[in-house]
Amino acid sequence: MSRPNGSGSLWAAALVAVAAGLLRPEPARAQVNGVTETEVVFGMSAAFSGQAKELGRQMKIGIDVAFAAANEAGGVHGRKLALVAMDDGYEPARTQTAMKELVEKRKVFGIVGNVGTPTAVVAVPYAVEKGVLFFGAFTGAGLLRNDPPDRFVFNYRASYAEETAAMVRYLIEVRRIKPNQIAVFAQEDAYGDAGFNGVAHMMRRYKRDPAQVIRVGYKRNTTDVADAVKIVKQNASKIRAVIMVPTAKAAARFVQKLRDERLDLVFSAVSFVGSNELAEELMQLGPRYADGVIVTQVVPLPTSKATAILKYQQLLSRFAPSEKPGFVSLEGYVAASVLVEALKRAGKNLSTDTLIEAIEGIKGWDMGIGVPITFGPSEHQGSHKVWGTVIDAQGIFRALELE
Amino acid sequence: MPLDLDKNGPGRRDTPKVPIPAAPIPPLQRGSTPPPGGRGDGSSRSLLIAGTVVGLIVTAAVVAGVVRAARSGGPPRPEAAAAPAPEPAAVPQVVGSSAGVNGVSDSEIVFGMSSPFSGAIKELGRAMRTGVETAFAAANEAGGVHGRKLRLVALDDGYEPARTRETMRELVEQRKVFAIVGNVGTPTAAVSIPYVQEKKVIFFGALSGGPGLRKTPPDRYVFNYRPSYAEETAAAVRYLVEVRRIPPQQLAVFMQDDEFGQAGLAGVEQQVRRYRRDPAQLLKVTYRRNSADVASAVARIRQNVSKVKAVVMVATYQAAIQFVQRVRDLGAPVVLTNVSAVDSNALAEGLAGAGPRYVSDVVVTQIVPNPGSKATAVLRYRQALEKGALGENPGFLSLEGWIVGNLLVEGLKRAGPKLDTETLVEALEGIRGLDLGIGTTISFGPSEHQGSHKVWGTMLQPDGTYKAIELE
Repeated sequence: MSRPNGSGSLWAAALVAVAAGLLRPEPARAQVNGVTETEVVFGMSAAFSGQAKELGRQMKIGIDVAFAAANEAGGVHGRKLALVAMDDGYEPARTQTAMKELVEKRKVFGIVGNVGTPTAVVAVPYAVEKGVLFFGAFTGAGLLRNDPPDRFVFNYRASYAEETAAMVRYLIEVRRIKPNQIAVFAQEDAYGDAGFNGVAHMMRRYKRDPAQVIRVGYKRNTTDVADAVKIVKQNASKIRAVIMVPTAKAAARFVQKLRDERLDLVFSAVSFVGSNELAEELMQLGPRYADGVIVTQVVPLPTSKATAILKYQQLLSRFAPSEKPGFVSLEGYVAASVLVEALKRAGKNLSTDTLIEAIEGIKGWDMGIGVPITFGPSEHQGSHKVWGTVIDAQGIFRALELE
Repeated sequence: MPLDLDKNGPGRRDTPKVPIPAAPIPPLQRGSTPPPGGRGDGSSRSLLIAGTVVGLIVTAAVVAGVVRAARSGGPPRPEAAAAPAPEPAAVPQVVGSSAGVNGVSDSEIVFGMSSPFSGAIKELGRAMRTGVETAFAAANEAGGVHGRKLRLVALDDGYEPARTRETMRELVEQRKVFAIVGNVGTPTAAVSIPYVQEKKVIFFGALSGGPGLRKTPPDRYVFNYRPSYAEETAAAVRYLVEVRRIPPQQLAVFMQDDEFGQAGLAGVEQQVRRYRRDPAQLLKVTYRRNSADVASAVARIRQNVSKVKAVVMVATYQAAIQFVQRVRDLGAPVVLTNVSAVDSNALAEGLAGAGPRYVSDVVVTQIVPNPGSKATAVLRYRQALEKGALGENPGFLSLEGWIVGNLLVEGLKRAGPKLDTETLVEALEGIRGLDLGIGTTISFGPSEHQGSHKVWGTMLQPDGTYKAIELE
């Protein structure tokens, strides 16, 4: 049915509400999973062990901080926000179990901040089938960005396709590297495929055949990059830049081996790599490994002095004093802040449907991160912005102009 | 065998007797006709009560509207033949706020549709009608629009322009419908369009991407939801050249030998010119409307088989199924693309039934989302379909009809209780950035009578479903 739009339909909607009120004098709210008078419980399935555990830990810190701030202010419509986090170790087989536990046993209201693409391959269809909100996952894969968007799936972040497209443009237009001199190092699963597809899309824009792009890879939850390094070495004369779609440890090993070969390559990684962890890993190997490695970001620098970031830094030092500001926890904080805003707008009568309408009603909402957030029935991705950053010899991230 | 479609409304008395050739179509509901208000389970009873409450309030509002209308004085009405015989209705009769407007009473708005319900593309008419009626049923269940129930009178023109003249005349002059919605076909539209302009009757949401419905500036009474065939075929050519890396000179066109085929060809030619190639060099093969005789078309493809790597098809499903099979039997690896009007679901059934090798590399451009999508609008469509049409599977065409029906309902809501053709035209032109949750927003305006310009790519799968593909 057409959405209420214009005074006529608002009027009709009001009448229906009046009629419903007449029929049901006591608006006894149907039981909504995870929602009581005093609490809303969310679930999160992410990696808290294994190679990607820093991502899960940081995302959770960001969400916890945003929830803590809302709770300190009295909660949302009197309800405190709680987060139940389960460890899936970044393994899809375990995600199934974790999601089931969260939805069917813990009976959470919605899922927020899940980490990973291969895990989302399992989690998204499950959430959609159960009619459970799947909000602000830490993945830029296309399967969370169907066109038109799945009713229950909402993203804060830009897609991997947008990140890799920005990087291809940067390499070609700013660094003057030819399209056929760009290679891809990607995890051998749905995550790597999503990143590679973004590169392929841009290659077509530059009238190049994506089938000609050299793609090397490694297996998830390993750092076995020997084959990938070997192939890049063999093609060293043809390659000037490598776009990386990996996790931090594999990326660090890959950069290390190729820099040891004295190959003059531009390295860039997508945001999912876990920027701070990547910088730490590279700095442990030595400054010359870290210096000049580019990472595309979907949030601003966590050290920025922008309004939203100052607030994030403040809250972090209060609620998680041992943690340093970082890209991943900032993303968790931003995603959860958008969720809190939507919960406020949804009102006291909270259900999955009222929350979805509230999220879809967020237009041009500016929390001070450098881009306004907009959702709608046909737009379930709040931001399309990609920032460029580069690691310096001190292991510090600097802003990088992408265009 | 003229069946009377109006038997679904209990108590319809003075159904005008209709001469052939306008054979009316049986109602949507299969099997027994449900009593008004639905089958008597508990939930429908409370709905009925809610509906009555709303109805009463709406009635009061209608009266208020009449008072307002009487004060302001309306624009000139179309030369008014007598309003149709009043319907027995649940809503009390009020002095008509749209008195003298064809097809509009205080309790009802009657729309007309002229489409093929027989012949080679009868599936298109049936599916489109299913979609429109599903949208109408939902609006009616919610109390109608400003208290008026929506009803559709559908007549069969068999996809033959000569018959369309008769059906359109019957709908407008005898049945005195308020407006035309969801007509199927481009050659038939070539007859309908001049006629509705002359009669000042709205022609809304036709299943045709032809240029005759998309003039610049647009005809006042003609509104489209869907993108043009030229937009679809241009997207197909871009896909073939840029994604599949087929040189433009290796494309061919298989087209119906009439306005439909020409409309699709125009988009191919336009895009080929963008690639700095001469469209005159394109291989064009044709078939006759309402036939599935593709032998000569396939023979010409065979003669040029070394030079043809893809065929942009602008065809209806029976001809398309034949053509795909015969071209596949040639053994050459040729990508075959179709426009949305092919009827994706009928095409899938026909090809999947013929064997797995016929389903490979068959692309269809779509102007609605995948009917299996989990998007808000599509979930609602499937829910409504399940409720209304027994055993009807979700499909691209009935989804299109459903979207068209919903846009019309939105326009009717905005037009207010004082409904006539001019107020509805203005209300439709006021729709800007309407987001139903289909993946694109819908905008009309005085210079924009086509709501959507979005084309999706799909690839036929061995199980007869369609998978989304990136067109660029």
